This record gives sequence, C-alpha cells and structure tokens, in this order.
Amino acid sequence: MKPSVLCLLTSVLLLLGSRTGGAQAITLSSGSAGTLTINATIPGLDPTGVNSSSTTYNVSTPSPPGTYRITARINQVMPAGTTLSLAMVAPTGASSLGAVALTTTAQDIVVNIPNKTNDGSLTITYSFTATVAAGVIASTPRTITLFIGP
Amino acid sequence: MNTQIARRSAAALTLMIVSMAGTAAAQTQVVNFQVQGINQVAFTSTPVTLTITTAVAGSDPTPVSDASSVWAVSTNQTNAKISASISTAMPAGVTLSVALASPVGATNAGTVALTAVSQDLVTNITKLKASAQSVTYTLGATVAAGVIASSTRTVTYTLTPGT
Repeated sequence: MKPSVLCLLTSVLLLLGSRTGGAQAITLSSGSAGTLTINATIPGLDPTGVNSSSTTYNVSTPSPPGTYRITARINQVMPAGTTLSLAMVAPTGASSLGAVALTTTAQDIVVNIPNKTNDGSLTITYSFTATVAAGVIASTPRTITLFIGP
Repeated sequence: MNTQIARRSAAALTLMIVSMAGTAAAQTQVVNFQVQGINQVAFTSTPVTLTITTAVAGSDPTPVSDASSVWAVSTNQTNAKISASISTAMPAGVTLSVALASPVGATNAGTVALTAVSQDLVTNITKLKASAQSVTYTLGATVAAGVIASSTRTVTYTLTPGT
C-alpha cells in the first residue's frame, strides 16, 4: 500500500474516532415504566385517564454542527378507543412537543436539541386514556422505541 | 496487489462513513396498560316534594309529577342495569312511580311503581356514557287513601355491572 493511501486511511480513521466518541445518545433510567391502570370515572364521562412519570432520561449530543430530535413509536397499535401518549421534558434549549399520542410510526417528541447537549434526569410521562367503548382490557404491554437522531 | 488492498480498504471505510452518518441511539421502554370494569351512576340528590291537591269530580285525585331530577351513567361493560327500590312500602292506595330517560341503545322499562323490592328501570346498558338524563317521579292516590301528611321515602338506585 502506498504511503499516501495509508496516510489517507489513518486520517479517516482518526476522524471516525472523533465522531464515534461524540455520538448522540439517549439513556433511560429504567426499561419499564410500570403499569397504567384505569379504574375510575365520573358518571356521564369516559373513564378517567391516568399518568405515570416514574422514569427519566439522559441525553447527550456531539459537537457542532446540527441539532437533534427524539422520536418515539410503539411496536403495535393500541386497542380501539385507547390512547397511549408520551411527553418528555426537553433539555435546555430544546422544545418538547408535549403529550404525543403514540403510533407505530415514529413521531417527534423533543426537537431542536442543541449540539453539545449533556442533560439528565429529564422526566418521561406516559398517559393512558380509554373511552367507555373500549371496554375492559387486561394488562397489555407495549414497547416504546425512543430514537435520537439529526 | 497493493492497489487492490487500498481499493478494498477505501470501500470498507466508505461503508463505515455512510454507516456513521446515519448513527443514532435508540432505547426501548415497556409500558403495561389495563382498563378495569367501570360502572358508575349518579342521581341528583335534591329532595323532591309531590303534593296532590286536586281532582276531577267523579275521578281519583289528579296525579302529580316532578321531572326536576337527572341522572348520569358510565359503564365500559355489557348489559349493566339500573334498578330502584324505596325504603318502606307506600301507604295503601298511594303509588310512587319513577321513569328514567335512557341512553340510546339501552332498554327502558317505562314508568315503574316503586316498592320495597328492587325493580329494573333501565337494562342493557352497554359500553356507554350519558348525562343529564331525566328522572320523572309521579305520585298517585285513590280517594280511598284519604288525607296523608307529608311523608318521606328514600329511593335507592343500584347499578348492577354487566360482564
């Protein structure tokens, strides 16, 4: 191999190394957010929705340029008449879209996360609602995939 | 030979670079959810007074009605029902009846004379919510009942859950 090629390869590897060390990342305080149970209502209304804010996340982004976003999706559609929503407190400088009803299509949850962000203990809140038409539903899991990217 | 190695290395690096450009971190979290059987009913608790004061000559006293009360219900189950009873039997010759408006899809028993034994008023209440449904009380008396001082009856409504 020619020295010039080796030099080029070395430079690229060094560049890659610097990128790898600063890749964006999201870390959750727990892989489980527990169970959301609806068991009450006010007569004349749909069942009373419930929330869970038992988990948090940490987020870090690499050096400039660019901003990042967190998206979320669930692995399977929700039963008819029910909604699982997700809200995440945004790190400094970013914007949270508030409670977003989750679907199997990834949706923005937090946007405009600045580069060089390193923030932690940000609250994750899940909300679960159901109509009377949804009926009785046994305990059912959904896996939420949170993704941070440009 | 060296050229081939260099080309392969460059190709591999290109793939790595493309891969890095699309790198993003993903995490998963599991949420469990459930909905339990929910059956709730409410009636306005304002006391109702029914006073019979007139008659048409040749007939029993004229019944009186009051429709100032309302009720509301929520159920996420199938075939719930509402029944009612009074605390003690009515005096002889006197009838206290009730009629509930019912939500669409439910079955209404119409005007029902209340007794100390619970009786169905609305059945087949299935996965619905309804509010501001009227409650109509009617008091009737025969001439044989005579004069009756103000008396009180407590009407107890029971929502029986479905399945």
